[in-house]
Amino acid sequence: MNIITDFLLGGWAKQLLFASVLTILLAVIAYIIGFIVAFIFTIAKLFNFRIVNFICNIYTTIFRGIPELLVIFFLFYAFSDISREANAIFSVNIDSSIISFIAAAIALGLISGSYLTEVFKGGLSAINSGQIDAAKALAMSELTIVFRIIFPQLISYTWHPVINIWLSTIKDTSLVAVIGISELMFKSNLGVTTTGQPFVFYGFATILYLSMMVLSNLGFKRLSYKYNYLLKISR
Amino acid sequence: MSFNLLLQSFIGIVKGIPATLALVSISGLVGIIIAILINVYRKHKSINAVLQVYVMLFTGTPLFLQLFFIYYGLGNLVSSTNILQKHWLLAELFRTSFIYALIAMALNTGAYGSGIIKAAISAIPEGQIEAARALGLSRWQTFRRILFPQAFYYALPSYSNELILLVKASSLASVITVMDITGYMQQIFSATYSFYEPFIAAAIYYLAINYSIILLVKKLSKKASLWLKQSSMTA
Repeated sequence: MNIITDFLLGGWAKQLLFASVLTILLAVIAYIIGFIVAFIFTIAKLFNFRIVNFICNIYTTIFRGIPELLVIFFLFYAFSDISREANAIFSVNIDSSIISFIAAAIALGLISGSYLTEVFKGGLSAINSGQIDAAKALAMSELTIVFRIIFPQLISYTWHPVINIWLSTIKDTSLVAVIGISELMFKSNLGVTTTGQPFVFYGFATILYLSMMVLSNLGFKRLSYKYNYLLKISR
Repeated sequence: MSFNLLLQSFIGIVKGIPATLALVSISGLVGIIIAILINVYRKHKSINAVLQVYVMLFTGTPLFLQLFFIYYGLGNLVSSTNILQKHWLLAELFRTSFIYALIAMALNTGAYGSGIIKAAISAIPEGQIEAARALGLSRWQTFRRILFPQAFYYALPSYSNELILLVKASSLASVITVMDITGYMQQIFSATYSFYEPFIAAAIYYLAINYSIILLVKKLSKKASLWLKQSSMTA
């Protein structure tokens, strides 16, 4: 019992809670970046931009094919190289912790973006092309077709995979501990190496991760009740 | 970027491929067995409750956390309780970090795999099993002739996804000092201080492994879909 009271009163619990806020922040930023990337590639697919589609295929193959750890390492070293060059040429000195945070956010964003792109592409192919022809015949503009015909259906077709990608983005944030972002995983590792109590720290981290999962599941459930009319389209 | 170093890293990282493949294949096999066992015990209420808690724990937290939990937690237990020390082979086995990575990955993929197998089994109409029983097939025959071929075919695409995720997850083992592809990549990086050449080599190896899994599954699924052709011929 002594270990647990020490853990709670010694400030470790508070630190881990703050670290989990950083985890959530990182996941949200990454998810938004992922959505932007996926949005661009989906639009490109919709309007058949050949070159962008080609880039998109390479991007999703590579980012879904190589381990997340390698992507994070790669962006980390690339960004630190760029900042070093920038420092040498323009003599702008950016703090290295900011660089690694940006690298982590972009890495996680590109990873979730590659999965989101594939999901949206799959959703697009599920939409009957006759509907788009019909919309064109009714003289709808292209933007109207996108926002009135395609997007509502896309949301309903891709609802569940998109939730899954959010959950896996939260889990992937644990990997950026390897480049020294002080999020939940990093802090619990720190705690274990300083106190030598793996069960207490990793147990607490497990509870925190699980509660994030449960809370986001509840949130998505609420959303799906609210936008029930949208989700019914696919059925 | 030097071509010489690229070649060197391609040769150097080959040494890590056996470890990666061993991690993936052994944990994949054990994971499938766990996943099947979970589905076998789905009808026993009390066992199922425990198993569902296990599934929730392992799908709700990052593999990175599970890996550290098992590496430090189980490692602590093994070294403090002295149970495994009595048998030299077990003691030797639990001294390597490889076994901890294996345990973490097997438990993780077992939890995810149980969902895939559940979905595949529930895709088979209940009436088929009843019909098979009515025709006098034994339970084993029903499983062998009716359930298994269809469930295998339905589960194959999602399971190949899970296998690819497993290959990607195996890179995490390098963090607990298993010398797999990522481990040798980092070794070359720390010896030469150049990141991009070993990174490219490692990425290409991972892509090759994942692509060969896709090809293998494509072949398997052609074989597994033979019953589809047979039923369409007789119908």
